[in-house]
Amino acid sequence: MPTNTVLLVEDNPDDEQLILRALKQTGITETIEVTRNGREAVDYLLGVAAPPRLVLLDLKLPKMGGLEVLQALRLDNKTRMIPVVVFTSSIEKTDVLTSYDLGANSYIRKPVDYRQLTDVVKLIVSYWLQTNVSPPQEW
Amino acid sequence: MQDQVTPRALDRRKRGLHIPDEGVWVGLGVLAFLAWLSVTQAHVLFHSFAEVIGATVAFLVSAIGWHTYPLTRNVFFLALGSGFFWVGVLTLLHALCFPGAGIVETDVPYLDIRLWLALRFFEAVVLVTAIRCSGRSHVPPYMHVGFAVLFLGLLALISQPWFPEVFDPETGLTSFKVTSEYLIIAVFMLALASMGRLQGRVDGVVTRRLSLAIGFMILSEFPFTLYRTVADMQSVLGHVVNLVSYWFLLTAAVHTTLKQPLRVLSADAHIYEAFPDATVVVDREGKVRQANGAARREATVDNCLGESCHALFHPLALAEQDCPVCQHIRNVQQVRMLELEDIDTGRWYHISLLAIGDAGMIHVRRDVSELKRAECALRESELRYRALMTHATDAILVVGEGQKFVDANHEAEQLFGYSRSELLHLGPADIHPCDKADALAHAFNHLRLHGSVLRELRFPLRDGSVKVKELAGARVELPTNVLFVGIFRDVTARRAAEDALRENEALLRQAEEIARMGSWDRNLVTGELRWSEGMYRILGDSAAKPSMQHLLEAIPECERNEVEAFITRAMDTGQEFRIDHRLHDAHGRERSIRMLGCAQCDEFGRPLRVFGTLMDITEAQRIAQELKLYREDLERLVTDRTAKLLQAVHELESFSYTVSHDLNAPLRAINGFSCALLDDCGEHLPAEGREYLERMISATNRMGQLIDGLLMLSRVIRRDLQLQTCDLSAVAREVFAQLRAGSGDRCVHFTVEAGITAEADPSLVRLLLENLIGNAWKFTRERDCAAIEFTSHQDGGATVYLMRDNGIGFEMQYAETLFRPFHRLHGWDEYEGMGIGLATVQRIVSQHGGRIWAESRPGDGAVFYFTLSPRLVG
Repeated sequence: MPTNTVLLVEDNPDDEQLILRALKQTGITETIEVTRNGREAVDYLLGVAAPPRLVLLDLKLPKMGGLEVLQALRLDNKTRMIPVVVFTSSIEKTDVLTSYDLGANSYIRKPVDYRQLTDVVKLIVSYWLQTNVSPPQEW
Repeated sequence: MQDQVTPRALDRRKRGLHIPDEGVWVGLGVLAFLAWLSVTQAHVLFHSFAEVIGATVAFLVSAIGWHTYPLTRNVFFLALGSGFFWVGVLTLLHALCFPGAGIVETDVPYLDIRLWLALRFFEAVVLVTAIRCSGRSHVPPYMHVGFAVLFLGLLALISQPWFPEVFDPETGLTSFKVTSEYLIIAVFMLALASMGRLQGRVDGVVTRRLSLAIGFMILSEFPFTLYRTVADMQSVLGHVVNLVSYWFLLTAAVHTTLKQPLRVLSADAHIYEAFPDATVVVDREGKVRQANGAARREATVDNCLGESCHALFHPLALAEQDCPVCQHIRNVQQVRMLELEDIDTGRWYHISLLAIGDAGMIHVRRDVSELKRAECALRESELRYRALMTHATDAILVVGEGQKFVDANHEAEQLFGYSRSELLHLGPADIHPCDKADALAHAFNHLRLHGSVLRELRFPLRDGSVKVKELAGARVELPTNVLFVGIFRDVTARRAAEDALRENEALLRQAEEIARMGSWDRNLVTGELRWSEGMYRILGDSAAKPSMQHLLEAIPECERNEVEAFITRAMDTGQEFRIDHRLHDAHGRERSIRMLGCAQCDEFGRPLRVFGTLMDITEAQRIAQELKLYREDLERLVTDRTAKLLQAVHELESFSYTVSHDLNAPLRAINGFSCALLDDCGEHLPAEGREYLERMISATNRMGQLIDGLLMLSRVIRRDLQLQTCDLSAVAREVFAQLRAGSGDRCVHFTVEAGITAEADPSLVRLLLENLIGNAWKFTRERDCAAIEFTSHQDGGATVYLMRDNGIGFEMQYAETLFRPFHRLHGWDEYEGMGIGLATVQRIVSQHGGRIWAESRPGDGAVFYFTLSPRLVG
């Protein structure tokens, strides 16, 4: 059974801190785990007893790319059902299509504007964790 | 009537002495008897006999001359007959007055001698006169009277008492008597001398006998100048000689008037027999009484005498009572040339009837079938000739020996512009219808000299055109004269066709030379093979003899069989063929040849002839080979460059990715931490510090948009077009709806023409319209009521799309710079935007092969025009 955990896979410490800040601002109670590369994320997810409720996955990661992580998660029965939101800077069409093909639940681009970022994160959280938040003004 | 002529008699006849053997002996016997009578018995009796014989002969000659004249029309004999009557009278008177006869006693002394002189003189004058008159066609009317007057005059003269004495019993004959006798001899001599006049008028035999008679008369005169008594020997000799002369006179008369006519009659009978027409004598009953040889031959029975003339000589289709000829025979009516056709035999006859008194009629039947046939043939021939002349499409002229036209047909009238009657008064030298004035006359001269002519003449017509006529002339020998026939055939079309053909051939020759082609044409019926000049050129042998063998031998052995098989198949099946092969020309050079062939077939699909063309493609092949090499080079080059380009694009992609990913992250950090700083420590910062932070946040946001714009631009550049029909009107409405949803409080009238479509990439078209409409939306912000309009129109076959707004517009001098990336016309504080929208629009339009331009005036709105004509490939 899922624990009250949200996994953030993010190699950039700046982004990690900003996303964590945005997540906390949403007021979620879940524990936020952070892994800095793909290998670590896969190991964590396959190894952890209770899977997280949501995974925010960056694509450009050291050691193992986000898409590989996604593929690995979807191939394992234990992690198959975890909602994964790809949260990345890339707006490459191939990235988008491949992500959805591999079973990403959402593909969301990280905006440069932090205020937009907090809006987007609120939206993700409210959707996947059933937190009642208003949708962002701009997608 | 056959005249049996013995060889001896014939011989005599040749010599002109035709004296019947018996007659001579009888005459000599009579003379001997008389001589004996005179010497032994009584002189008076002798004298009487002699004179009576003389008178008899005279009367006989008179009767013959007088009565044969109507048949012979011989003036000589008539004159002789007329005179000799009186001679006979005088002779009788002389005999009656002879002394001792005792019949007539007169006072006139020696009246018998006087009568004798008158008689002899009269006789001589008659002979001279008759001979002199022989040349006349008619007897002078005064002649008979003249003879009678002379007779009476002489009688009166000798009865006169003053007439000189003629005899003296003492001395015998007086000198007057002797002189008179000599005078008479002279007159006889004159007659004899004139005998030549009779030549050609009287039979030669008769002339000779008359000459002999006159000669003997002269001879008899001499004894009469010598005698002393009337009974002495001289007198007897004179009378005997005189009798001889009378004998010759008699035979001459008999020959002329009896033997000659009978001989003529006999010849007539022969003529009748030899007459080629069937000639018969028919009696009134229509029975044949006499028939000539022709009639006997034509009659169908052995002996036609007594047979019905109708049955033998008239058309049997006619009954005898209806036969016109028989009717004429019954009525004894003469007929000349009654024409009858025997329908059964198809023969034509001319029948003539000549009445010959009670004996019936002479019936002459002439077979004129051949004549009739010849006449018909002649008439038909004439009609054929006329028809030919009339219906001939060629102009025909006939020239006679006199250098004048003797006939011309209608076409000739048309050609020469003269009527036939006018032409018949003209000759070839009189008309000048040809381009060269005397061409016609020269042509006919040539015809006259050489017997034939064949030449072309050119006739300029009134309308300016020229007719070309071929004159074929021939000399026609007729039995009586020579004609020259000229036939003018119109060869204008043929000449034009020949010229065109010649021109075409020249063109073909030229074309073949230019195209390096040759052609052959094989007639499969005659086996004839023709080569065009190009064939010799390709084979390099101008003296080659056209033959398939020669052509095949020029082909290398390895390809020869294949080519031969193609040609053979075309000949057998009429199939077209095309084959490339090599060929060694006469100089040993190898040529590449393309042979194309086809067969021309008859209605049953059997090939009649096979045509083939040979094209020298050596040069073309060399060029093609070079081209191929160039192409291969080029392709290699393109492949290399493309690979390099792809690599570059790939590098650009990864660069863009890196840019978008890695540039965003620090920006996001600056922005995010600025926000955090503002949120968390904002109250510790002065207002100035907070403003700086806001500016940092704003700057990083713009930077982010800038990066996004760059990315968008790069994506548009390297995107492959996926063209399909797009409904631009619908897309425009959707884009507008989104914008309106974004800021619902603005008053914007958006007008879209319905049904604007384009062959374009749908996602790029959406991007294009988003930018253009977004642009219009942005720059009409100041308007109380904005108006945006999207329409299209056709211009020069291409569709031009218009996006019109009533926004702030721009100066036209910036119209070109609008579409440069990151180029902005307005300050950051006035209108947001990276200056990348119109650059993107321009890229999209270019991608589609179209073009974009704008028109505007500041404050007066702007119009953006664009086309999306797909780029023409290749």
